[in-house]
Amino acid sequence: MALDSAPTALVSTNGLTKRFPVSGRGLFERQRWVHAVDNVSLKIFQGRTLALVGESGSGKTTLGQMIAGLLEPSGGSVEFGGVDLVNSKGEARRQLRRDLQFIFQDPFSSLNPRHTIRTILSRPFEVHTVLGRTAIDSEVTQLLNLVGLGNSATLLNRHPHQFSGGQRQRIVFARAIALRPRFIVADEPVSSLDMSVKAQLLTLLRTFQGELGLTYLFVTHELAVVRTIAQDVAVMYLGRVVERAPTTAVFDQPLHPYTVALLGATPLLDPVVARSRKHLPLVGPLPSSITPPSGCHFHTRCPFARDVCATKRPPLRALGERQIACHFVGDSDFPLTANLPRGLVETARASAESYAPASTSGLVTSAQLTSPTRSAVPDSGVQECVGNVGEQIRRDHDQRDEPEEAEN
Amino acid sequence: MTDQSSARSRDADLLHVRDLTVDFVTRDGVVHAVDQVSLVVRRGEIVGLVGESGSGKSTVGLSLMRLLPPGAREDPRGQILLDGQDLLKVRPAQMRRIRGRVIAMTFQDPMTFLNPVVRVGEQIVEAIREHQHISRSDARDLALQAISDVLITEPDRIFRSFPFQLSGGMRQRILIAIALSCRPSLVVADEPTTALDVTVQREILDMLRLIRDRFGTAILLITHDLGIVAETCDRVYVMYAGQIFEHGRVERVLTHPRNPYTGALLRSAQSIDEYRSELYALAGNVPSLVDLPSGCLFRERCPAAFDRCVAPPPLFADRLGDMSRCWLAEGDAMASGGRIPDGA
Repeated sequence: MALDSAPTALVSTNGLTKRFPVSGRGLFERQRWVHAVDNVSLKIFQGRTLALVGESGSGKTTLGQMIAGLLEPSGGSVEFGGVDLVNSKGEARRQLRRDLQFIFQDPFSSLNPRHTIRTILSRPFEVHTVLGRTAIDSEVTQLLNLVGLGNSATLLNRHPHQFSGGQRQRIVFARAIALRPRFIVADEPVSSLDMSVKAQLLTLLRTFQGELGLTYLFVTHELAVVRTIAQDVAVMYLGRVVERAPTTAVFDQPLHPYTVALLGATPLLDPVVARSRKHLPLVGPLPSSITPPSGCHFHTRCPFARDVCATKRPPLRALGERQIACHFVGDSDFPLTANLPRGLVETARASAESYAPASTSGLVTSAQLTSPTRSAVPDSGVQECVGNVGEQIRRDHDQRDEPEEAEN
Repeated sequence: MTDQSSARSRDADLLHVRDLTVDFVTRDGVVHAVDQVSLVVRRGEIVGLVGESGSGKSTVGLSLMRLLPPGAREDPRGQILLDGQDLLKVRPAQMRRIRGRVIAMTFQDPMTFLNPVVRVGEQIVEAIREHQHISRSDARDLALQAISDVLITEPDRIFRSFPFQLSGGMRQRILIAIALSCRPSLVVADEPTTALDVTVQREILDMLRLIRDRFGTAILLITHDLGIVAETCDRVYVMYAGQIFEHGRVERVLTHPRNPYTGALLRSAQSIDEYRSELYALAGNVPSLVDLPSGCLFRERCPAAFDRCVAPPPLFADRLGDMSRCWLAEGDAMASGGRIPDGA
């Protein structure tokens, strides 16, 4: 396994699939399924961070949970350091649980409110080591130091509710690194936090990576964070990976039409660039993952879709250092690869005017969008879920992906 | 009355808030949520009110709508002048007529504000008939129009849908449709896209700009996201710990911030167009609003703090009306012939 090139894969998935049964079928109806993750093969390289990005319903959380061993796949396999994760048992499983940790988004529900910080942080050592009380206490104190909470003994006797959201997430980080794992799956770890606190915790994650040699799978919907934290990116759409590449390549020049749309929709901080850049409006609503579109899942919303897209699933093809699942990316007559020598953002910054007109590339500016003639604009219709309980379940499930603003 | 209203409409300032102060009385003590906030929204403008959680931005929004929960205390010395009328002095019955028709609000979580067992069309009709004495069928036509206004195709189908049948983005559009249904002059949009995916967020923000262009509706956009401000707003007020810390045109504030807090916020924000090898992390936390520190509220976290910061700085304004609550701005304000506020 994983003998390909210089960076070694710590984790690799092979055809990983997860489907959930849709409840509420009638007596004679066929069982229907939500296809959360559809045949995903990915490699996560040792000592690097792979960001798994996508919108709600893309399956990124489900994929992350399967890779962390929290969810049983419906098909395919996960290999962790050469060990089959799905079928491991006994001592091998136990060792995997040490090596592999998970960080949840919400630091309010991932810490037991009735336990003290000492209890919470001692638990990993009690379960997995033979250390005595004093040894554990010194480990716990050291952990608090590592995550920047200081070493005051009074902290240890406090309960989670006595800490702010950012501090709680630090405690969650401390628990995750307690047993010096090799790999951490972090599911939206900073999404619910304020800007200034977010930067503190991202710094902490980067420091851990350097000092402990950690490998991360970083699941997020926030593209701005990806650039800061991850060396590699995998973009998901309706359960499939559509583009996988080094972060700089994706951000400088996204190639898959969905990635282009996603980056174009992400707000920029520079008002001038933000208002002059092009973006790719998507056509129509997000399809249901119970009845995903045929062929390329993205074809119903893709401005460049042709006949073949509706019939044939595009394989994840290599294009230089990246992999892209699109029939046409790489062709010289494909607008995204032909007209865009550099990144969208940089092109917009250099000159909004000198850039090729919108008609050929399908790209429009915000200004064009807000003009009264709105022919090029997608109608964002209703999600097809009338009377469809499964859809609702899926969305409820995905609610956990969403950022939660702590209210004032 | 007619003289008065024509005098009002000549006034470019649609909303003029002066020294709005809101405290909450809680078991743990008095929370100073909003401290002497003054802000202006002109007709047809999109103004951002940005801050981290606990900065008081949502409390300002609720106060404008006179929808603060019991336990909130507003300082009677403040003013909320909407079209020249002080909303702090208006009786509840009168406020109900103003709410919806002159000022309307949309909220972050549409599911909480839409009735789950009533079809969305009925909910829009209800809102319209609350404010206008018109027949059911006329109200229905207006409701369908309101749905089309928020760029929904097939308004008939949406009219008959229940909220749970709609996606998050659609629900937010319906809330905006309800807010717009009586053609208010000002819409307060509280975090309208926070729970939405970026591609949907983009559609909603583009739609808000389109609504402003078409109907001349002024929008006060409350958000924690500087990127949304950069994409959407004309001017911005930055709040910290209940106070306005900076104000100005978006192009200036986000590229050349004058207040150290805005600068720190921008430096700690991540953006897709820039890789930061050194992440700037603002140390410390927002001060407790129950037990506010003396002097400048940002002093303990401020990279530029110096000895004058032990005294609370006023909001210095320059000639163009750009403001910064920082002693460092004093010189600029004086040099440009700007206003040195009272008590400075």
